[in-house]
Amino acid sequence: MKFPEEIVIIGVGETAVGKLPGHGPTQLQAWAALDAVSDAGISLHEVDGLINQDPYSIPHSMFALALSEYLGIRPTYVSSCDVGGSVTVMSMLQTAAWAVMSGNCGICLVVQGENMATSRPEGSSGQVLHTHQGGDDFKEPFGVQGAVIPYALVAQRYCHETGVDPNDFADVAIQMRKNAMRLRNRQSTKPMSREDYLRSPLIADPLRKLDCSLVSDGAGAFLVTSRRTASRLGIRGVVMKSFAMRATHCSIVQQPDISELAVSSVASAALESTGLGIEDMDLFLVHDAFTISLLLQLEGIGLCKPGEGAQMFSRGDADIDAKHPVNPHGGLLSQAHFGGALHGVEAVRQLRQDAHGRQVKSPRHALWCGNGGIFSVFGVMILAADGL
Amino acid sequence: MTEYISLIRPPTVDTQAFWDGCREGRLLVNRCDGCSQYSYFPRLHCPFCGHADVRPTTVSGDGSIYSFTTVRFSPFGDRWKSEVPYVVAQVDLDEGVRFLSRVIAPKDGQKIAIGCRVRVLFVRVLDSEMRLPFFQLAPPKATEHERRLS
Repeated sequence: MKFPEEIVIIGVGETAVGKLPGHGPTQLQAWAALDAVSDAGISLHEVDGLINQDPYSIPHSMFALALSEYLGIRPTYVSSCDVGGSVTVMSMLQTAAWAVMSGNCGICLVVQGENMATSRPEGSSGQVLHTHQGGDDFKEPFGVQGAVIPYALVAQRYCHETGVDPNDFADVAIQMRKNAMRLRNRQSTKPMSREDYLRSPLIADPLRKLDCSLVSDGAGAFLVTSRRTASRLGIRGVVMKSFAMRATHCSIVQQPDISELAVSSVASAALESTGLGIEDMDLFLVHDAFTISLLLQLEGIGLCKPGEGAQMFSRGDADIDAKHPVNPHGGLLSQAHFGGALHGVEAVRQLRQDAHGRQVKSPRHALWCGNGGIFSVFGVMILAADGL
Repeated sequence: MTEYISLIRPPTVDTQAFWDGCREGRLLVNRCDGCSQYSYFPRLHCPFCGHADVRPTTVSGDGSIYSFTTVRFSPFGDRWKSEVPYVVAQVDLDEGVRFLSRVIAPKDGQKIAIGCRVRVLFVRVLDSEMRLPFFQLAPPKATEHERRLS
């Protein structure tokens, strides 16, 4: 789980986010890729590895080849990946590290993104995935499709087990919106008050529209290499210290109890392999497809006790200048959701102290917690500003 | 008109028995001859011990609500709007499997809640022989006093 050789991220890129007509997954991924190349200050043809996400909205075949062809590179390592949610991004970063460590490539591009918003058929809601998913046969006849109904089932159970009032989810949504308002590149357009949250319609009890992430077009990208190569190029990178993951299931049809979800064991594994504790983490990037996602993961990684996550937000402890900054960029709830790449991009920007207008004070370590499906797979990556 | 039939996928070798059971109003859950555990959704093997000794077994249809939600939008476009709102629940069957289904609206003013006892109710799909295993709240237990009187 701990990378034996120092693997660093030397560049990050992102597209504009929101509704971007005329942009398909190819155009978006290429945009983010070229932005990362420019950020690193290298030339495109120094990139000799490429790993990208297979889009959900418009499935492609051989998408790593399609993107390599579009960019105009001839990589010695290519792969596409779809693990689930932001764990896809983390898994791609790990694979990039392995490709670099084994000498299959020197500088590997990792890119994730697609046009979730503009690919949706008229009148549809939420993320529309044109793919088969586990458990479909035993979901759809019962009126279940997409993410919000399964997440509502988990949220309802969470409230039953902890006694938390679902109206307290408001503080999570409000903090994420407050954070996003500090950004230039965001899809949400205005601040959120408690009244806005409570007026927001129930979609599937107890989840309201403002408990749900945005649906966006966009892409994010990373350039991964060894410390040796980075030094040769005169670049200091953010260190990928460790990564752990676990999958427990896929669909709501096989949903385990909340206590059996893998988040706790994955966070412990990622931290233990670095010798660091949760108290050493200055910053938390947490995949926030729904407000309940933040509560479950922050409690699961041990930052607060079960049932106490919402209080962390109501006390302001998750703000950028507070005890435990969470998603300074506003996350999927208020910046954009086309996947989880921008949590990783934000971690890098924060550790480089490049996060204009929302900089957390001198962060040394970031804990990035990702998930996919219905809390079906978790990944935790520890990133550090070592050597920066 | 709510159109369910297109949401039921063609059966595969592992799901055929389940859907045949539904057509006949029987709730079938695989049970392993080797380790005795029930497993759902149906597969050709037991996900607990890995052996291919599973047998579709009629279960009681009784269980308790593990979680539920009231769905207030249509996930299937305009053709499903007439179903909304509807209740989806995870039912923990007494045999030990978690079953995703619907709970039909109680007529007698009972409230759907986590922990409520439920019983399967097969609902016919329009223009088809297929039936779907939905659930209804079990009638409230007679009190000791009522039982002595009857």
